[in-house]
Amino acid sequence: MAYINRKSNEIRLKIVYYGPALSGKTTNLLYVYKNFSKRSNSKLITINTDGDRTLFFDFLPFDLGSINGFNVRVQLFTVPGQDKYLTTRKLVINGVDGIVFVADMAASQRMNNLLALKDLYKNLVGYNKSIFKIPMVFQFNKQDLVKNGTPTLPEKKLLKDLNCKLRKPCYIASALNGKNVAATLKKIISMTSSNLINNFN
Amino acid sequence: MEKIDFTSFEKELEKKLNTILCEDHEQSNIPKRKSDRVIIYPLHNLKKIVLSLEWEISEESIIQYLKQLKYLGEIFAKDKNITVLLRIQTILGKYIKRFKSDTNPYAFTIVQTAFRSLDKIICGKNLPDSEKRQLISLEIKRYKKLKQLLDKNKNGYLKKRVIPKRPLAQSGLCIKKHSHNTEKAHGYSKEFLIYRQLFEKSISEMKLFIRNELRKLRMELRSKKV
Amino acid sequence: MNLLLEEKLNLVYDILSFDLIDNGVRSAILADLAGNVLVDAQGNGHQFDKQSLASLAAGNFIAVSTLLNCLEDTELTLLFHKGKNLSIHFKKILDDFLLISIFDKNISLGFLRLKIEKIESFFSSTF
Repeated sequence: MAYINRKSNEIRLKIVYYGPALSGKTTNLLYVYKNFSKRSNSKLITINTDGDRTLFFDFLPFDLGSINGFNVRVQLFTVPGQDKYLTTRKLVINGVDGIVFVADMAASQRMNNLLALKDLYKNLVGYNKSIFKIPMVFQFNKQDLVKNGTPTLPEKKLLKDLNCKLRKPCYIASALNGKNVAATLKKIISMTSSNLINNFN
Repeated sequence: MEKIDFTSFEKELEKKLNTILCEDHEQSNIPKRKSDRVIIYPLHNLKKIVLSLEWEISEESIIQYLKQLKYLGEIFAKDKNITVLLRIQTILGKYIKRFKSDTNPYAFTIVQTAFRSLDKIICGKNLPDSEKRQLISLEIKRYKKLKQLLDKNKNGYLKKRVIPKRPLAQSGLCIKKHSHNTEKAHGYSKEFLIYRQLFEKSISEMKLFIRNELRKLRMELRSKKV
Repeated sequence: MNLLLEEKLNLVYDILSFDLIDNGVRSAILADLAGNVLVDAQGNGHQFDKQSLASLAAGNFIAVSTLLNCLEDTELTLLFHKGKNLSIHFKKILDDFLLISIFDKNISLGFLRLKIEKIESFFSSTF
């Protein structure tokens, strides 16, 4: 849950990377960790199975340092995407302030994207949160598949499937190569902090 | 409460994010120890051991348990009620020490209840004799119940075996149907039957042990006329 | 990768039923570390969602092990949660599996650990 301490001038935000299994949520965090962690003094914690599938969550605390007199700290989480971990996802999403929905551009994953979005909607309702109101960014990941010749979903189709009613910002990305990973993160941090401060004021 | 100036916050946040997420391809206060209190409570050590047995039963902890009981037996040698309770606990301690993981779980229940009864008798200054006798008779009843539970085991565990439904493992494990002929009695495998046989052997010894100790306890009770 | 024969799973079920369920343990589940239920031995008591339990248990166990790594202590020797009516004990078996035992106040933790130690050494010698 968002935390503002006016006395100690601390702001803490929780951002969760959500999406179907193997869509690239952990890859996003890994990229951020490998490329930016030294500047922000972060340590990545992953709780995986032996096959490197997220079992519980990945966690990357991200320290932005002092901003306008406030110590801003962002906590990045990913959820396990496999169906059987639905209870775990519900736990991790508790107290979320901002969401990055990582959709898989592979054509074969169309249904899984929709199911994951439905799952997110249900879990947010469970915590009296609205998917329409919560700061959220879509990331259409695995753009690199196009080069391989793997059938992918065009952006228009993804937008129609996932974002026609929500109208959230979108980024086409390739987490493996780092394309738009940072841009996605910047956007969600901005949206989440502005939402937090507006609510506070 | 003072509002936060979002415009300047937003500007600075953007600057910071651009710096950090720039892709340019790079007292301590030692906790105070609780002061040692001098406790004038004769069951202090026994209590520690009994509580630790709740968590972990090791050879060492059982040996300590028996030692402590022996020590208390010497201190309270003149008190018949306390002696009986200590005796029950000693029997149980020896039983657990000898049979370890084959011990009936009810034995551990009696270890706890017997200690609580002992605690009541020692700490209850004005406890009438009748109540003390009641506590003791309760513990003896429990001890007899343990004997009955061991007798029940006589008919064994070869109940009708229900083949469980098992989902196939999905990650990193394979399940293959066995190709060898395994001897099965009542649907149980050879290995399980051997495992069970070892336990049954323990059961006979356990029953003998408990029966003998109960006989000795009865004789002691009669001679002390508790 | 561990290979599990069906007959071994039957044996595991029999041992868990015999040593745990028949001694009053409410439920004994053998799962892999990804949270998949392999063997499920049940006693009396209300039914619950075993798959969710196993997934959460595996996550919990590995989360605590990871926590220990932060403290540079690599061995998790006891993981146990005490509830109001039921308690749950976790034990890593044979490197790849997790034995989850659910029990009530009639079973002492010490006794359960003793039993599980025996089961673990039997499995180590058999598998």
